[in-house]
Formats: sequence, C-alpha cells, structure tokens
Amino acid sequence: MATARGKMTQTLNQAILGTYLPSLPAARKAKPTPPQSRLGGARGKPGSVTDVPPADKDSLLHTLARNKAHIPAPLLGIAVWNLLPHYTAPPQPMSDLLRDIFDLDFTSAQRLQRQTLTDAFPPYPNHFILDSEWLPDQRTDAASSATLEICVPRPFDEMGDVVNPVHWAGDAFFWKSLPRLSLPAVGRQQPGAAAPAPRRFDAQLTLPLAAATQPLPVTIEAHISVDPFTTQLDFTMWRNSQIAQCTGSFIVGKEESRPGATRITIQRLLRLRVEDPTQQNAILRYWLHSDAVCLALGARAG
Amino acid sequence: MRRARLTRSWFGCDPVATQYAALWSAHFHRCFGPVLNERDVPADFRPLSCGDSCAALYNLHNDPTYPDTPSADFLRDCLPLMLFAGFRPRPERHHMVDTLLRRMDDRYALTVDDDADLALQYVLHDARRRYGAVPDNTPPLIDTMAAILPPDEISKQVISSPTAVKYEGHVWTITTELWIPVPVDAAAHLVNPENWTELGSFFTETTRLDAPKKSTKEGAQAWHGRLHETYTYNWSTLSVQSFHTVLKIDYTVGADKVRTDYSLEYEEDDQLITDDGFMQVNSVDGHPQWTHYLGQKSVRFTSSAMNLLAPAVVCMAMDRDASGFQRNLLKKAKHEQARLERPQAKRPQRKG
Repeated sequence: MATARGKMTQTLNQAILGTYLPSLPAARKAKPTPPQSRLGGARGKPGSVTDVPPADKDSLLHTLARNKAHIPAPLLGIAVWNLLPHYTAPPQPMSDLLRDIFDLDFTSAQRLQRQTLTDAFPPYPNHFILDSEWLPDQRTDAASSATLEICVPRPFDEMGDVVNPVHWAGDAFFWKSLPRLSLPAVGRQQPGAAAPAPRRFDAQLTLPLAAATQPLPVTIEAHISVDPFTTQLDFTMWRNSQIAQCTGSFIVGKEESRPGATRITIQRLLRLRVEDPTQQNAILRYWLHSDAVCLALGARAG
Repeated sequence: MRRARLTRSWFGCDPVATQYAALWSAHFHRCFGPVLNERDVPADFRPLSCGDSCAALYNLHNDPTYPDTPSADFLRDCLPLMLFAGFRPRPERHHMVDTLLRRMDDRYALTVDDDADLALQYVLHDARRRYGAVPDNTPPLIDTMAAILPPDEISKQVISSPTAVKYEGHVWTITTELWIPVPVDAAAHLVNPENWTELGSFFTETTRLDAPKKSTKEGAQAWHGRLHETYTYNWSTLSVQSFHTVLKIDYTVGADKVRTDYSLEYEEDDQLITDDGFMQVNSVDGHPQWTHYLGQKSVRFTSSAMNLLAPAVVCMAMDRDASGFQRNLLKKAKHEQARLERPQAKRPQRKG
C-alpha cells in the first residue's frame, strides 16, 4: 500500500510533469474551493498533497504554490518557468512564486524568458549556471531521446563522482531504494577494445504516470569509465511492465577554456509502453531536468 | 573609445622588430587583404605592404651585422602567407623572393636554381593547403597522406589545418590545428603553461603565482592555479604592445591527452575583456607516432582598434604558437634520434 508520502510525491510528480506538456486545457470555471478535508490524505493540514492533479494551468499553479516546501527550489523553478508562457497576466500565486524563486516580477520574467529561449534552465539567483542546453533528437521510431547539457562553475575534482548511483538518490521524485553503491571505475578503453563488464543493481523508479500507483522495481546494468578529463557512466535498464527501452549516460567532464568549471551531459533514450508520444517526451524532459537538478545543482528532494 | 596602450621600441634597424613587422604585415594581408588597405588602420598598427616586407627581409638577409636573420622559421611563417594573400612579386623583386626562398627551406633551394617560377608555385600550393579552406567532407588529411606516402616520407611531414576564425557574442574565437610526427609524451611539457616561453618570442614571461618554482622539469604533472603571463607584440619596427595578464589555469595530464585550459582573471592595464582558451595535444587513433595539436583562443580587447584587427592579431599569435610548438618538438625529436644513434655507432664490436 502506498504511503501518504509516496502518494504526495506521485501527485507532485504528475503536477510538475503537467507543466511540461506543450498545451494545457483552458482553466475550468471557478468553483467554490473544496474544504481541505475533502482532499483526502493528510486532511486539514495546509501544504499536504493527495488530490488528483488537475490538468489546467491554474490548478497546476495552485498545486505547486501550495506544496512549494516539498519541491526542491530549482525543480519548482523549472515548473513555474514552464507555466510562464501560458499566462498573459499573472495570478497572485505566479507572482509570489516568481518573486520567491527568481526574485523577479512577472514582466521581467517574461522578458528574460524570451531572451533565453535556448537555455535549458531558468536563471536561478542562487545557482549560477554558465550555460545549459536541451538537445532533443529527431527520431522516426517510437522512442524519445535527448541530451541535456549543463555547465556549472564547480571544479571537476568535486563533481567527477556524481555519476555514481549513490548520488542519484537525491532525485527522490524519480528514484527510490537505490543501493548505496559506488561502481568501480575503470580506465577509458581504447577504441575497438572490449567494454568492461557492467555491474547490475536493483532500484525503484517512480514514473509520473497516472497508472503508476506504486514505485516500479527496475534492474540496471551500468559501468563507469574515467580519465583525468571525464567520468562517464553508461547504463541500460532492463525492460519491464512500463518501460520497453531505456538506455543512457551521464558524462561529467572538465569544461574546455574554463578552468574550474564542469560540464554535465545527460543523454537518455526512453520508450515507454504508453501510446502518447507527447507524454513520453514530457516525461523524458522532466526526468533529465530532475536528474540534472540533483546531480549538477546539488538540490535534494524529499 | 579606448585606445591601445603602445610603447615605442628603440629606434634603429632592430632585426627582430623587422621580422615581427613582416610577420604582422603578412597576417594583416591574409585576413584583411581584400577589404582593408594598410592606410585604413591606425598608424601604430599600420603594416608594411607585402613588397616592402619582402624588401625589408631581403635587406636583413644582406646585412652582415645580423647573419642569423631573417630566420628560416620566420620566413616559413611569412612568405607563404604573403603569397596566399595575393602577393605576386614584380620582376625587379624576383631575385629577392628567390633568395628568401633559398634561405627558407632547403627543399626549395634546388628548385629555385632550376626554375624559380616553379618554386614559387610549390610554396603557393603549400600555402593554400595550410591556410585555405578545407571542405567539410574531406577525410582527415593524415589518413589520406598515410595512404599515399611511404612511412619514412610521411614521418617528415607536419600537417596543418587552416586556422578557423569565428565571431560570436562580440568575441573572436580562433582555432588552429596540426598533426606532428612525434609521440604525444614528448609534447606534454610544452602544453604546461610554465614552459610557454619555449613556444615563440611573443611570450616573454610565464610564472606561476601560487607556487615558488616550476611544478616539474618535464612538466608532466597536472596542476591548477594562477599564472602571470607577459605577451608582447611588435607591430612594426617602432611600435610594441605588451599584455600583462593573470590567468586561471587548469593543466591536466592524461595517458593519451594533455590539455591546458585558461581564462583571464585580469590584465594589468585593462587592455583585455576576454582571453580564454585551451591548448591540447592528444594521440592520433591508428597513428601512435603522431600528435594532434589543437589550440583555441577567444579574445575581446578593450581597444576598438584592436578588436577591428583581432582576427589577424590572434591568428598571428596562434599560428606562431603552433609553429613554435611544432619546431620545438621536431628539434627535440631530432636530438633524441641522434642520441639514440650515437652509442650504437661507438659501441665496440665484439670479437668471436
């Protein structure tokens, strides 16, 4: 049976995912706000989340605003930034969130967003990002794949190890029950040489799907290769009831021409057993953002 | 508008300054030949015409006071560039070019004696390969050359890609690339910024600020920290400009790759806004006896005149660094070869 905390995570997960969808339904006509006791779960306590996430922009915004304490600030920032183009005039929660997270008013935020369309992350005042880019692949098959790059002003010596699964646990919206595992690193292989045998481990994954009521047990095979310039983890997830295909890599490397800066490149291919490619693309993007927020910016959820 | 801070070198026939003036002129004509005349640039940076550069180098060659100038490596960096920029000597100056070609490279000496026009065509052909554009779909030159040249011949070649210039976000980025027939281990110490003075005479000083002395003699030990660098351009026989920069450095040594990343902390006279880049050497797949050199620099000056001339200025600096790198390595390889051959020659024959 899912715990209240698990339910909350799943609800928030779906709410954040909702902000990634390219089109949102128009806001429903205002209804009288139901009493908190009818929302289920931790009844009556302000800030608890157990309601089914609504899909229109106002409801998403209200869900985020009510639960901002439970979402890592950078991830909440992305969700608010995703919602920004859907508004022409700011409702109060939007203004409050923009001020709290970005120290910006609505007009400045919109202008800044138009100027930084290619950036993968919004301009956090507390997390300095040198540059970031979202690079989706054009595919003809049913899978979605993309690469997320983020360059942060932290030395490689500090960042090189974040690829290890022990650090993924910080991304609590997706990963659960990760083993405290530091994979052994092997030297980079020469081209043509046999790849080292991967290590296998089990974990649990929470996908923001309506059907995913329980964390999904997954098996992952991964190996890490290192050299003085980069650390790279390549992984393959075994197929299961919800995922038909999932492979990817985390590459952490010294940034060229920027001493003391590190670039994290997260590449992933995902094919879900869902029919809706829009949702699959949105999940992939959200997942990579969530991983990057945890690994590159050190933000932790839960 | 901010002006460049220039100082005057001592007046007179300074052979080094003459060589540098010819080098700057060659690079100016290469980058701006079709669009700018030498009179379009501020007087302090004004280059010589290609003909006058040639005459100045020829006079230097004939001056018995300076028997070592112009040096062959300077000529190698100047003459092909001038020809590539469109310089065609007038008949009365042919003898000057012929003389300089003989001094530049033994390979051309015989051809010049035989057929001067043909020698000029050879140099121009080399220059087009070195400085001209390469189509994107061309296979790596090293593979092409390895397929057509015998091994002992290819080991004498240095292959260079044309220097690439990009302007983006008010910053000029220049990239230079070459392949040198020397194993990558030999190149590691030259990538160490502490040893950049060995690359060429633009570097007058490089000193670590956070360590009392050099990290290692051979330089193959990684370090990161701050470096004070003095870099001096001779614009002409009269104008000199020095940059005293403090750079943030990350020097990384891997098994088959060595790289120095640098970025500007400040320039003592605020002449630079941006000075970031890297110098990298790595081994070449399938060619273990070769080193791939890649240098990249992004600059933005505070002086608008310098920003106008930046492509030529930085190309000159980067090409000079690259050729210094190549010259230094090949010289070292030659010495190493000689050292290996010497004991074998002296070893006494065993009887029986």
